[in-house]
Amino acid sequence: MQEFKHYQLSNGLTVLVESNPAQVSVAVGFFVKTGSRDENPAVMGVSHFLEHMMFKGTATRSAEDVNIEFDAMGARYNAYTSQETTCYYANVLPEYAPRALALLADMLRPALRTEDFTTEKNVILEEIAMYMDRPAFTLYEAAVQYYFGANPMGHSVLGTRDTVGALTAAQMREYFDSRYGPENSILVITGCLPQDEALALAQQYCGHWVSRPATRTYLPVVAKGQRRHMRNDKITRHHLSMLFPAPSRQDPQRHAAGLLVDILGDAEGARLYWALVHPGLVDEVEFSLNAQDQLGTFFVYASCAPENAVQVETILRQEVGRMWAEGATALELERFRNKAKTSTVLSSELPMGRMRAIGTRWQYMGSYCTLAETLEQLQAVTCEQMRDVCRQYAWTEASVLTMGPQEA
Amino acid sequence: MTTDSHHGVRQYVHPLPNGMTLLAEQTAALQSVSVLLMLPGGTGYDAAGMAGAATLHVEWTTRGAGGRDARALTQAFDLMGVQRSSWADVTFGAYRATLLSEHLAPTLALYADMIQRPHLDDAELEGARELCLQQLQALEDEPAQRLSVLIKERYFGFPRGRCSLGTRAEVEALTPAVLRADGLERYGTQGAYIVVAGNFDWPRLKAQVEELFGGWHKATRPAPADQPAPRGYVHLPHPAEQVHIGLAWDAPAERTPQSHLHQVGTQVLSGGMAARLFAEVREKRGLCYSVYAGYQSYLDQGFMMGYSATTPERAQQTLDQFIHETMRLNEGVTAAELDRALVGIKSRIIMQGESAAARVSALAYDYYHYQRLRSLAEVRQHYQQITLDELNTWLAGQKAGPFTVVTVGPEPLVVNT
Repeated sequence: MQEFKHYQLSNGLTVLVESNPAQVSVAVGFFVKTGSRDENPAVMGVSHFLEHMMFKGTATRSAEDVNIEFDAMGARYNAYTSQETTCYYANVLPEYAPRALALLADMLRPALRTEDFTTEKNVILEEIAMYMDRPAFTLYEAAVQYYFGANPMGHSVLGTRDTVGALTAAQMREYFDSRYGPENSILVITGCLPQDEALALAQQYCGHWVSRPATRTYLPVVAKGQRRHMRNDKITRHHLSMLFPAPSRQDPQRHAAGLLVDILGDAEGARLYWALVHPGLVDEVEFSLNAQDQLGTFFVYASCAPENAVQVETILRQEVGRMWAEGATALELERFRNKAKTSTVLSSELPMGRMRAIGTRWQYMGSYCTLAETLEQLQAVTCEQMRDVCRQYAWTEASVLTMGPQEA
Repeated sequence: MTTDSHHGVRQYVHPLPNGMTLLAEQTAALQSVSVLLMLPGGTGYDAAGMAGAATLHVEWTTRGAGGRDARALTQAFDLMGVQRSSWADVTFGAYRATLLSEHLAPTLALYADMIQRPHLDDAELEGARELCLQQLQALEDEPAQRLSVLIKERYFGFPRGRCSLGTRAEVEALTPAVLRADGLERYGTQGAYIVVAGNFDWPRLKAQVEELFGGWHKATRPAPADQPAPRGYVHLPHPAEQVHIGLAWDAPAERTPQSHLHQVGTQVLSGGMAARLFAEVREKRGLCYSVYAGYQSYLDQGFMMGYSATTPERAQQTLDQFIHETMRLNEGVTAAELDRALVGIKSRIIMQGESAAARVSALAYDYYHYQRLRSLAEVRQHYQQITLDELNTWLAGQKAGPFTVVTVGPEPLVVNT
């Protein structure tokens, strides 16, 4: 049967193991509590660049060795960096689990060789260029920066050509030393690896890590109503974004807020879908929730023909205003709750899905939820709770950023 | 029915008299079930001047069927928490749903309505058409998407290479009457599949499918004849930060004896981060962020599609290195590379079994190419048998190319082969 246990090594590393003999693979993930919000602006992009550099080898492994070893295990592996978290993970068949954990743990103490740093900088610059060729991403990054202003939550995760171009290996090593201590990290193991074996491997490969506490600074967010248009004559479409405050990841209201955004902005059958997608006024519309560490934002986005920009924004504001004023119906709540439940169950069928859910939750809340408990949290959401979210978080003073070929 | 000792998996194949086939794979460990319905008559069947009809018709069927209008249909699915998508690819129109198993029967009933009794309401077509036109317009702003459309057009030509969304002019000309008449002659029963994977009761599923679909007959007209494809190299100017590079070249079709050898070779070329393309183009030279090549197959033709993107000053070197790595595969692979390729394939196959949605696609693929289902164990066994000598002997007789190449970005390149 499925079993969850939580351990802490003497160096402060949190180890979370959910063993499930019915599953056929094992997922291993290291979650480090660091991201773009923890960066000094001068080194913006260092968390993400460091994430790349973690794959470039250790004292005993070259970059090529790392990739060869992962492939020799048939591993599905990767990493990601966000504003708040950097995560390294691998999904393997159980016979390779010990090797996968050994390799990931070794990688988390990287060599950061200058030669690899110089080559990989080019890859990062290419990644920045890749995203610059995606208008929706360009707008999103600019909108976040516009909303947060000087608050480090406004930092670009990728960094800019200038900040990444100027980064030195020494700055990266300093950042690594300050942020990657065991107290600031969580190791999660899910799937068909037995508890005692998982713990023994964690102890074997991470027990020697040296304690190095890290802190996170929480600066207030001054959200203000503001509006700007970015003229971009390389594109033919108009893009609209709005950002305004929302419940944080720690806030119990986030479950209600999550269903609220689904009712408004889910890909199919939601209010904005009927108002804008179904009649073909937009090619895309989004209403989503970023519930993060001690703060949250609602994000609204739409993409349309420039001649429809005013109409689309008017309809968007009408729909959000209507939801905020009148709330959702019980039928809508049931529909989107059931969709969220399906999504939760599907994710739980995969060790990777459980690993991400467990690691993310622990990082924010310091607690664990079974699948059944997660479904209960969804079941407990009421229309009144969603009304409370709307009462508490006004949308009318949203930060609005638009982009398109026309003048403002 | 076959039984795979691996975690209680059972497979079923049940042909219906109307030419449809029910394919099913039951995995006891899953709570979910996934359904995939595929009907012949995809974008490759669009008549000349009607590109976009296949996609638009599928979308139209989702906007009201069996006595439920678009909202009622959406509500019925939503109340059961069904995740769903629909599309047209070159061969098939397709509907896929993933859901909790207790809702399988009513979900199948809704799809039977959509497929057999769509309302095809005039007003609903207008919204669907507008959405299609918006999506076509949005493509123009994304160089990677423009590349994706153009490489298929150049490599396949008419009729298979056309964009699934069609073109603005052709989509604007699709009136309700024209599209309805067109719909009567596509998405028929002969060669259609209903694929179910995950948690379900076989006798109940079989009985329900027979009841819902057994008495239904519909024909699909043949696809238009293939015309010679343009191939060669073309550059599309676009004010992009990167030069986006697409390549396509021939490969053995899936059901040829050599296709497994080719797919192992492809795994060595582009299967993981130690594979040739990633290692040589990205890791060692830092030329790009994204580089890969993948294999696909129709019944009569296999092919490779490759992609990379890089800033203009590195683009020529990137293209040269990509072609160099692809062509030098014929010099052979090492034992270590073969081992890694086989482990990667084995891993992918086994872990695919964890996902009902992944399995329905794999089952449909198998039946389409082989006219039977293969168990996960059989697929693994087929690959494990491959020896180094066998692979290298075969690779030595291969020469990748000629390459169809498309670039989208600020400047054209030179194709050196």
